[in-house]
Amino acid sequence: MTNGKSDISILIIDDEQIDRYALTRDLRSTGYSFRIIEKENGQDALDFFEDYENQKALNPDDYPPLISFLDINMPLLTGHQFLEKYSKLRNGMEFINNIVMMFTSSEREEDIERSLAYPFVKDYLIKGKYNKEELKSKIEKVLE
Amino acid sequence: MRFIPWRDKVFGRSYLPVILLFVGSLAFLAFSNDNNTRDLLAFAVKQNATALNVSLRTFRSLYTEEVVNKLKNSEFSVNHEFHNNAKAVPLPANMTIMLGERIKHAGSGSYANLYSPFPFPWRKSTGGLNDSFKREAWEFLSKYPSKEFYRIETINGEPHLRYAKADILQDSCVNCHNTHPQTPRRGWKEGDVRGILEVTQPTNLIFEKGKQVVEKQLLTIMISGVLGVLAIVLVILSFRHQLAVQKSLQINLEKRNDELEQFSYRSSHDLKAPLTSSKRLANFVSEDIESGNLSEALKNTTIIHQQMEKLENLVTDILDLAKTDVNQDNIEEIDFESMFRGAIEKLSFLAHDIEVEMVASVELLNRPLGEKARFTQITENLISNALKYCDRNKSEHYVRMKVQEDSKRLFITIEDNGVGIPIEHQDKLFEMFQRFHPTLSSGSGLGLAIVKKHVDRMLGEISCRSSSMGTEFRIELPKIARKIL
Repeated sequence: MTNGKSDISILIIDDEQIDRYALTRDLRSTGYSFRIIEKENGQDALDFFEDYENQKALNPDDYPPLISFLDINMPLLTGHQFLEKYSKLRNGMEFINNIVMMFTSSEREEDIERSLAYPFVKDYLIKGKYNKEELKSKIEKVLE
Repeated sequence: MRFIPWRDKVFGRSYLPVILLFVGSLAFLAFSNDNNTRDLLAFAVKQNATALNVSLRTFRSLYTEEVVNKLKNSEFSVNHEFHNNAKAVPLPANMTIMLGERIKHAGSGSYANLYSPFPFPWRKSTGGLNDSFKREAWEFLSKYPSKEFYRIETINGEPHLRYAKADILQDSCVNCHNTHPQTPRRGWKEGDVRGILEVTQPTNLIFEKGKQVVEKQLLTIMISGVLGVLAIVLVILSFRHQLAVQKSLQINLEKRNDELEQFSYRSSHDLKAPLTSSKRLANFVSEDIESGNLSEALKNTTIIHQQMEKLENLVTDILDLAKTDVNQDNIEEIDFESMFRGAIEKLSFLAHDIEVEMVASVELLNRPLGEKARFTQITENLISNALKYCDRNKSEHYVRMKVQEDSKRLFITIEDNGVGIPIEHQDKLFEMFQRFHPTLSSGSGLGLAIVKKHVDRMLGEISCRSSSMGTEFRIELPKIARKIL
């Protein structure tokens, strides 16, 4: 997984197409190469993880993704609801290397604390309030 | 509202002690009253008997002093055989007995009796201790001459008070009792207990009358007691009512507070999101222009424009929502035909390339009264939803608007054959910031919350039936009465 030359697999879970586009551009600007999958809400993302066997068979190299960027305010299943269900799903399954980075416009203490309470949530990015260098160093920290 | 059985309402915990205390106090009142009445009446009867006893004894000593003693040295004799003797007057004891009998015959029911273990020979049959009361009275009073001895006995089936006092020899009597030729005993001294003067009195009359009076009083006390308890119950009821009102106000306030918090959270997020993304897109546009990627720059400029439109719509919706709380005050005639026409013209673009049949039917006798702005927002929001969530997979598409009435209500129905609302989301239908088809349309998620608030404000009700066949919203509103001029 730490092979810098192979693509880093990324999942972006966000209902806003613009935010997915912006994050993708920001990621690409770090110089690393990524394979990016997009899901438009928590439910689609959860389905994606629940379908473990099939997805693994389809993409043995990129599945499960190394980093999931997760928005909070989404229809159908919010980021918080996703984390709750995903946390249960992780029990007994080999998602060990998959980590979550929150990617949201919410700056509420409550949201930050609630997200970081999960051991697999490693970071909290606020949309529009980080620069490319910060994003790069966060990615590198995961790759170490 | 929670259903409370009437028993719980009436006998709720706070009543129980009141009722128990009340019943207890009534029982105590009845019990102690009965005892008190008996005591009081017995006292009255006894007082009566005492008075009669004292009268008889006073009369006798007076008779002894003023008549008998003065006749001692005269031609008159004092003896028990006075009936056929013009020169004889009765003995004091004879007078007492006769007076007692006269009183009895006068009809009061009371009578007196004089007896002792030492009767004069001519009174042996009536003046001796010939019953148990007499014997016990003698035994007691000869020991304690100043006391009284009494009890209630049944005589001829009626309760009577037998009241006995010691008959004590006076100075004026001693001589005679010692010297009389037929005296049963000599050696009497002043102060000796010569016999017993008993007054017998029926108790029924006094008891019955007394009881009537007391029972009347008891009834008065009980009635005032019941009224008192009713007053307490009323106080408790009104207190409870106030508590309930306060509680519901509090719950209402908490609900409003939660709503407000959710609203401010969601609105700030939804207001910020298009701003933040536009800001970032503007940066990308600069980068793309610098690097010469003009087509990407153009694409992102279009997106920025869309984001601004989205923001504009959201601000409009938030303002509309805020306005639902403000009473418009201007009640006017509502022209549903032109309102539907206006909505169709304004919103048809939402159907994009799909052909949607729009049918409006107004089945009203007169134009109803109401706040026009509310009706406009209700119909526009429902019609725009019907158009936005049109089902492309169906061959024909329609939106049907209908207004009907009965004598008291207006019925507005907006029906479509669109994609429908998933059943699992229907309970959240009227909450703020709910969007169930994010891929079909990007509204603020406030539309139905606005509709619901308007309906609530007009004291109406809204219901929804929805399936994959389509959706029907039905609104029922009370009519506003026309003022008769």
